Amino acid sequence: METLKLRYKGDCCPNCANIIEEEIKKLDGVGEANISVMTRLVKLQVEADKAEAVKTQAKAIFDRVEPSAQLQI
Amino acid sequence: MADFIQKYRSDRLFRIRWALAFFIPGVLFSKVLPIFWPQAQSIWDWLSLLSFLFAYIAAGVPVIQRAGQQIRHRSWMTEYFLMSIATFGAIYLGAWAEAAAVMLFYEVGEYAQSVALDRSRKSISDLMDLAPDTSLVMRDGDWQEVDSAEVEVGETLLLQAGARVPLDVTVVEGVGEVDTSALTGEALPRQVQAGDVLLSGTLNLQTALTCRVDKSLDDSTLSKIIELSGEASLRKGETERLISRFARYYTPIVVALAVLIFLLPPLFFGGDWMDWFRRSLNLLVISCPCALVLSVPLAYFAGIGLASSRGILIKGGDALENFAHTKTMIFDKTGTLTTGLLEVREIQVLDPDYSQDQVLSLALDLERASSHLIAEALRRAGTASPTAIALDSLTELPGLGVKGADDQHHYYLGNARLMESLGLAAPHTDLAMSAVFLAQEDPDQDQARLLAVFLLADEVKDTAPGVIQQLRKLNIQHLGMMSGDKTSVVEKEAKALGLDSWAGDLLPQDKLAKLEEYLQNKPQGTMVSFVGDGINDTPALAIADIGIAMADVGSDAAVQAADMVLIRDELEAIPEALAISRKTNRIALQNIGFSLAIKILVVILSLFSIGGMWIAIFADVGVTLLAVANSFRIVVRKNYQKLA
Repeated sequence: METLKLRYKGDCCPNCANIIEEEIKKLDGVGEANISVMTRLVKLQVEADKAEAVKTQAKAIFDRVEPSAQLQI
Repeated sequence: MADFIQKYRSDRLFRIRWALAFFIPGVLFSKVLPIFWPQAQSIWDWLSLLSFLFAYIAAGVPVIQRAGQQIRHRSWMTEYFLMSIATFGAIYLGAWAEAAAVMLFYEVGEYAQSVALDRSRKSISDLMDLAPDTSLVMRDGDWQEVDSAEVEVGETLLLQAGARVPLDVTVVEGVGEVDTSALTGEALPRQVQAGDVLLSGTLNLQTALTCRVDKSLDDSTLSKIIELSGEASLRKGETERLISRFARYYTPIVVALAVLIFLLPPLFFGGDWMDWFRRSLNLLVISCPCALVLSVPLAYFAGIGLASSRGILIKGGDALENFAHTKTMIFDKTGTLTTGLLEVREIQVLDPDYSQDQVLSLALDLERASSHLIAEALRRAGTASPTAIALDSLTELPGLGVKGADDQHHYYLGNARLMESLGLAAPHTDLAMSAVFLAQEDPDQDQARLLAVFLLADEVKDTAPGVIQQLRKLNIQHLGMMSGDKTSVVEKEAKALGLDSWAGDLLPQDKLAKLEEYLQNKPQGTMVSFVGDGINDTPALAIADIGIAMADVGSDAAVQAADMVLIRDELEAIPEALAISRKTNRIALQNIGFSLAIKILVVILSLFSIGGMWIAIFADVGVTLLAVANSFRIVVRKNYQKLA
């Protein structure tokens, strides 16, 4: 497991952040997912070899659930 | 990134302005002008409808667009979709004003929320501006301005007057004053001289100082603080997680309720379809739990921000929340409750031919070249100016003590083992202190005799008794102390401080076992905090419910293990942190309380058809702003020191 620290731009509604968190946790290779709307930070625990795939999928989840927030990958 | 937010926000402001530019005339056409010119009613009706339509389009199009995007991805239960449905419904009912108002006030609310969040975030971005990006370092015989990230440990750095310290450094040359308030909240300037450590972010006030670089940029205090406080909001406490879980059920429940009140009364109780349709639409407007969800992290973020401005680094919302529930607080002794500096407590003269001053003079002379802790303590104890004695051939006896000689005698200063090696039985000094013996040996007769015993102990910090009292007032029920020192020493100091429990002669692993005992025996629902100096106490810091390290953030292991780091290396920071944490918890609960209460009230009002969508949307925006304002109260009341 490695730690991924990402940021997003724009505003994410707090409930959307919760939904996104839950969906990211269900992705293959993700152990832990935390989003802070206060600091626009996203911290993920992922299996090292799946990190890239997780990033792309996480971005897609962001785009779907909260179009106002863009995950920077 | 700032550009993006700015653009995004100005887009929003642009939409709000246009929406208002149509909405206000709409209100005039529909409510005001008909009073004065009732004969033109049909004109007013048309004009107001057009105004509200344009206001609706100006404010609502992005929301509807996003709802459309989400539907393509099959996300239905979203704020955008539900608001779109609610306003379409309102338009179907001919309530143009309300449809426009919902979209307009939604945008206003989002804008206000975004501004408020940015204000809260400012505490951290302020920190980032503290350390200069470049440093002045000596390279190739010249002072050169270098990117701080490229400065290496050990380089010589010039700190000019009025400049901020870019990296953690030690002063090598120069005397001056520095202002550490940005890091520690301490307002008074501090005197510094060669040998003093300056943390990055400190402001050099008066004179230029030459320094040696101790840490690279990434390892320097300010970078650590920024990193840790930025990530603190990622660690969520029990309350925040509970509300998030609740939020997941909230939207489906409210939407289900809306469907039920739309269908049931007309189907079974002969209610009017249009009337109940309107009531159910109101529920959709308040189906977003965002205000409720946001109200909790807002409070914790404010609390963590305030604490960090007071030199208290809290690593997570969970730590801040749990700390308030501390009922047991265990302190490490040396360096935490005590200064860690030895002090001579008692001098016992054992030879009637010598006075106290004489033995002290001898001891001082023997230790004159030493920088050992005991030598320092003896020097501090030398109140009367010692008689000048000049002993020759000073020899360090590793692990034992020192040796010196004058014309007639040899002198030894050291521990009991040294005395035994001289054939002397060290008297039992089973006191709460460490003992150092002074002996004299006649080289001709090969016979030694004891002259004196010095009893040393380290000092309890001046602030410790007051802090212990404050903690009692803050309702900490069990205060304890652990130490590797002799139990007799620990007991004496613990009793003097009025602690409830103590344990001495502990090896590091014993400390851990002892702390586990406290953790197992703690009262239900309470927390055990452990305060350590951070260097030897890393395992204990890690297993305590809340580990508090009194250390500079440079000591990585301690910072990793601890939940709270006192950058302001003072015991008083502990009761202050406790007061901040309790206040934050109270504010978070208040936020939850009124957010929920207002939501429920609006649900009830909607059911009874009191008020319209206006109330529903105002409630949503209002709750967020109220939570922001309420959380701000944590920061406004700056003085948490005098709470106890």
